[in-house]
Amino acid sequence: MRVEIFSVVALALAVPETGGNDHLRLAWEAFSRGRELRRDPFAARRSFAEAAHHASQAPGGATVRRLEGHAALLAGDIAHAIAAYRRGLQKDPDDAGLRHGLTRARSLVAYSSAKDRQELIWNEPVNSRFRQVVRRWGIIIVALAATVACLALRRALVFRSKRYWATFGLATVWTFVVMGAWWWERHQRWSDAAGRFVVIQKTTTIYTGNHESFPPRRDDPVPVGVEARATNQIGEWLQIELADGSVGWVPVASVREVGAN
Amino acid sequence: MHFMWWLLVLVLNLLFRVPHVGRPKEHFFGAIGHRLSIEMKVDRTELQVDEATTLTVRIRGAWNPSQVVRPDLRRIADFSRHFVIDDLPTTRSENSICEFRYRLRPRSESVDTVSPIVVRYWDPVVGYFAATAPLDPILLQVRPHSSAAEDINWANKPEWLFESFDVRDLEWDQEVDRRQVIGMCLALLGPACVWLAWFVRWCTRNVHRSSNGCDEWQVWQHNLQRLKDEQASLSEIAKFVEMRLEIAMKRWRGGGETSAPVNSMEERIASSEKMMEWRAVAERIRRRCERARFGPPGIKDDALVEDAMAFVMDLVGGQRAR
Repeated sequence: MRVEIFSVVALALAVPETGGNDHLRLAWEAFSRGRELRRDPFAARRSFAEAAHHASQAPGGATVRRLEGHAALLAGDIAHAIAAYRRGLQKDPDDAGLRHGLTRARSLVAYSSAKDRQELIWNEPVNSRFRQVVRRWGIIIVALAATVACLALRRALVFRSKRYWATFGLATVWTFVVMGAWWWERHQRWSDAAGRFVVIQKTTTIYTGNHESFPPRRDDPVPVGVEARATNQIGEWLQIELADGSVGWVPVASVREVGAN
Repeated sequence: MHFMWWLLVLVLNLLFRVPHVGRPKEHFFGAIGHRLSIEMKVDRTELQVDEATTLTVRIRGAWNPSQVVRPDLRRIADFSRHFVIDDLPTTRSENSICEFRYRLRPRSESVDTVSPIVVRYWDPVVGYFAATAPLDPILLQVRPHSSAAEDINWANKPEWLFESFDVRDLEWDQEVDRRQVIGMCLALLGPACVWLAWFVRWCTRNVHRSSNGCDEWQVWQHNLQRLKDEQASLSEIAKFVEMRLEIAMKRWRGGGETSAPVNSMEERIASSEKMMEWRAVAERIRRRCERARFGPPGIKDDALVEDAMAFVMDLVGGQRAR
């Protein structure tokens, strides 16, 4: 937790990168061009692919990832779109556009059966009301509580009244409780992001070991767009865990990393 | 004719039951009959990856067409490996033909055949589980995705995917993490800094209130010094000195405010041998204050402040008051 606080403060004080800005502008230009070329699918798709590529290089929050996801989806790259939407949702789990996009992208994955579709899609992380409120209103609540605490302290000093001392104490406790909750919520999201998530980008067979000579883990190959958690890597082989709990090995080249923020 | 056929099937079904012993675990779909045959056909053999074709499987000659279950192609490795399979509604004709339809979508361009389905059935005439299958596989020509196929999908793209983004929003969004942390720091430290500024100012201007444990005389002396520095008028200074002396003299006479804090210094003053002398000095200064306040206009008493301060210094013990 302490390391995280230091890293966040360092992040806040760090000088912004200019390279990311260039990529962002190029992504935005390509996306706008793609929209204009909408009647020409071939040219539009090329522009959207370019936009997705540049957006993936740019740092950013939910809006940047939404642009990346939309562009990838319009370019026909389902794996890239799912990775972008997931990455965006790590930043802002409340973004309706990202959730909508992820649902759409997942619906395009060619699972071999309805059962597979049900089993191989990861459940959404629990987005509790409490976390949502803390995320959205945390800063404002802290500002208000700190203001109340300071006003109460001022009046307590001037009037020497126990009532104001009590108000000051309560407001101070409330300030630090909400601030703690805000940091905790952030920490939780960082922890979720720290787990390495991958998206299958080439239809591939999952093997029981890290070589093609091992028997396949599943009868069907895993289609493009299936999400998995990477648990281990040996050379060019990655051990992944699917949403149904099955664990197997796939070549590293056949997956795309979601990437931590 | 139909009635006769139905009667024959009923009789045969009653006579011949499928034995449990020797029943195949795979490829047996509950069919009973003599010399069953199976046909397979697809509606198109040239298609692209992920493009659908309809496979029709027809089983002829079953005596119990209503009891024949749909073959689950997903359990047949050759199918599940190569195709995305969706079941289509079953057609059962009455003259011993069972028809099952499937929608198949090839997973890759390497798919080149629809493998024959083997059907095992119980043949009561010869008394064993026979098997049948089409003679040849169905050959397919599967091409990779072409832009033309995607163009058909293109028209179905939802409008929200073409969302218009503002470049300023995107640039703002790039720094969202940094801004959140700065926002939280400001939310916490902003009010604290404003309060601190107020407190410093308040302390310097209201020493008599802000100094909690300080001696009353000391505070009084400080405020008198402040009045002098601010070059307050004589009547103002006189009023300030007089009020304090009145309180002190009341207390010395034993009629002080009960709520007024009496600390050890006050106790020491009260028990001092110089008490009579101090009272006399205080009375003299108080009269000078009265004269300064209510006497004829233009009166000057520049020494009043110095005398009052000297009195206090003497009162609280010289060095301590300083």
